[in-house]
Amino acid sequence: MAELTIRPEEIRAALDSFVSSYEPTQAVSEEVGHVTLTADGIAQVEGLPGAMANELLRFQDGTLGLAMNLDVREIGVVILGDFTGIEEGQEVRRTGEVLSVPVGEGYLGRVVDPLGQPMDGLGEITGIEGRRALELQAPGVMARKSVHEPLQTGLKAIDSMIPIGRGQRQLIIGDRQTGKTALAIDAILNQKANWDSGDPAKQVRCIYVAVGQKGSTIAAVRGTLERAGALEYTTIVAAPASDPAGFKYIAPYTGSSIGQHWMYQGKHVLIVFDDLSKQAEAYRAVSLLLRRPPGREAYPGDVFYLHSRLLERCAKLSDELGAGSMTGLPLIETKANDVSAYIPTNVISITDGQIFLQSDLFNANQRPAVDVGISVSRVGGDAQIKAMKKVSGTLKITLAQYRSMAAFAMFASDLDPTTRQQLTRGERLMELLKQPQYTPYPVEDQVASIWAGTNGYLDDVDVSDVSRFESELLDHLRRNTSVLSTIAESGKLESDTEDALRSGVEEFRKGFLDAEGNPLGAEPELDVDEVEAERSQEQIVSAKRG
Amino acid sequence: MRASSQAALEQARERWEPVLREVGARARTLGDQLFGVVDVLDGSASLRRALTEPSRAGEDRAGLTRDVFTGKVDAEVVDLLSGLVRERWSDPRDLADAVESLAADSILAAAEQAGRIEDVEAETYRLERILVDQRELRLALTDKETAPERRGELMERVLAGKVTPETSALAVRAAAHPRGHTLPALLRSVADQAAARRERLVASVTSAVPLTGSQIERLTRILERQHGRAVQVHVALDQDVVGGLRIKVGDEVIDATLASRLADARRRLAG
Repeated sequence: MAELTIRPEEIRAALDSFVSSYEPTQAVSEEVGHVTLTADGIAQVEGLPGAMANELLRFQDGTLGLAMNLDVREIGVVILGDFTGIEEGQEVRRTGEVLSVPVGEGYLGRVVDPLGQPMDGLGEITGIEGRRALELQAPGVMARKSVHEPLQTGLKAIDSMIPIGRGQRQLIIGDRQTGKTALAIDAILNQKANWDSGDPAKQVRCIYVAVGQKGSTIAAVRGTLERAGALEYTTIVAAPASDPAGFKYIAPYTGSSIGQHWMYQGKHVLIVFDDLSKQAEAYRAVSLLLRRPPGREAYPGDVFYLHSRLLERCAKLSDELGAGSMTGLPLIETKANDVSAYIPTNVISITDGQIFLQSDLFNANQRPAVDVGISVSRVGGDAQIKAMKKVSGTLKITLAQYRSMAAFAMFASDLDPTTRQQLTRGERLMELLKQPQYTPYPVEDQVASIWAGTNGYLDDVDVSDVSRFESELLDHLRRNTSVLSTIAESGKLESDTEDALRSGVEEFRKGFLDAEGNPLGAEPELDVDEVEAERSQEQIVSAKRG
Repeated sequence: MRASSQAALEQARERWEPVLREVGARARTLGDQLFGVVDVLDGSASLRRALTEPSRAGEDRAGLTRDVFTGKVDAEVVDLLSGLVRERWSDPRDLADAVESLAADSILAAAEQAGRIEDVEAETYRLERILVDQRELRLALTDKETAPERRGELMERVLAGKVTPETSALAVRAAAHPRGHTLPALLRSVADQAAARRERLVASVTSAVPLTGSQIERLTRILERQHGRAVQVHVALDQDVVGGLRIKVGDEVIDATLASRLADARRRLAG
């Protein structure tokens, strides 16, 4: 055999000169890598020593990829697009751009994909004011201010007891088909009045991020928003279920970047993430394909960071930075109401409160199916106008007492008057909190309605008549008094306004007829007889005189 | 080997063939030197990685090759190595595997030019069958405790004078530096490489009784018709098959032995 002896020192010397002779290529476009492995939605690329973390790479057929894993010899790339055209050995070039999207005013009213490309067939997005990287840090402590402005969702159950402020993150969590999306859409629809006012301090731009939704659902949402005239201030970022996992993973960050651009300009933004469970699943798929070690429930170890860095970008900025805000409404789907699973507990600990939607309440026709006992808003009264804070103070306690007594409801006739009164009041308040879909209530209507309920003016109304009573009452107040407009303008419920409200309600009650045509609070047969008798008496008298 | 390494090896082989034809008998020396290069690459992981570094230009890698190997091996080998490292490799170890394959090719080319390649093929095949039968010899030749040189010496002593020099060289190399493969598998791959050089498929036939010349011819014709290429039939004798033939061509096995029919009947009666 060959007596080929090369001493280790010679090899070392040669390697040293090899390593020191390295010069990085100056132009980004000259660096060429090659695909060594391609699988469902990911590719391994070798070469490209200058690639940055999260840089966009372009494959030979024009598809973009995201450099997620930077390993010693190769790069793990998430393919943002169709991966069927990518083969081993193909060339890959750097774009020199870290993952970013164009931002600007032109996004309002449009439906875009997670890279900012329009999907609604209405042409290119105009009014682009630059590009914004998707992985920018959230505002720091000194850049923030405490949340003090309300974001009215138009839903009585929420605005009264679980209020949301501008800059807050409020989690909407529940099983499938419990009304999570409906709640978020109602919140968006309620911003129409603010938008029409033209006041930048009131206007709220909305972004609806649809991750992994059915295409038909996204189309239905768009249709609803368009019909209600809400599409002119809403952007939809869509990564439907048929999109590759890479798109679903970055869609919420795209929405957040678009919103942050407006936030830093001093504007108010509402962003709905529908839903984050599907984003976590897409991230899990991508991580497992990239061979990152799986953790609990096979999610990678940084799935908490996935959501925390997204939600931390929703903030209320300080006055020096323009006092803009971005309110986040992430949606999480639980399985069998299990809120102690991995992702729900993660997101609960990140957000400033949660709205639990229970499937039992939904099936019992309590819609919105908000479980007010365990739903909480950590911002609380700071996010309510003074009027609402005043009237809703007793509401939560009343409902809590009602719930604790609800088990006795079937024995209602055998209870003492206090308990029976609590049950009556509680039933009517729960009925009051029911609200049809796509009918947001202005805050002054909510104040009046809840004031009437908590002050006992509904106690003698049949439960089935409560909603009719409420709508007719509000109609009466709007037409015959100025209470509602006073509350709307001043935001306060002063004693004189309250007095006016009281007299308005009492007057309305006199004229209200229940389902059988009887007025309130009287025994049906006796009353009718008595009135008739009186009338007949008078008639006889007048006839006599005449 | 993944597609990139495979492509690189094919390219190198195409470039190397004319060189082998040109140097004639010196191909044996070149083959020996290439085996030495394999040992150097196996010994130094940093050299392996540097020579297949994808972020460096091919020219830089070729320069490193020249730095390390010039003066130690012939110019043709340095040229071949420079060409090899300019290609893209899926894995650093693939480079050493490719060089080993080319080394074996070189020695077989030398045998071909001396007109001995059929002998090399037949002898390697026979040697493999012998080792399968002779357990003690096989164990001694694959014993990891003994030094590689001792194993090589044993192989040389066993084969002394009975085989062509090229067969001896390849068998000694296989015994001394198996590089993770089993000895019979290595010998089989050498036989396959030799047959491929002759552009023939290898058919291994196992029979209980020796076949006559006309039987072998008929079988060869049938197999050639089936596969569309020249076929080289090697016959091995094994009493256990009882009767009939077992024919293995590439990955296909046609089992027409009595032994398998008896086993089948036994299974059916049992079940």
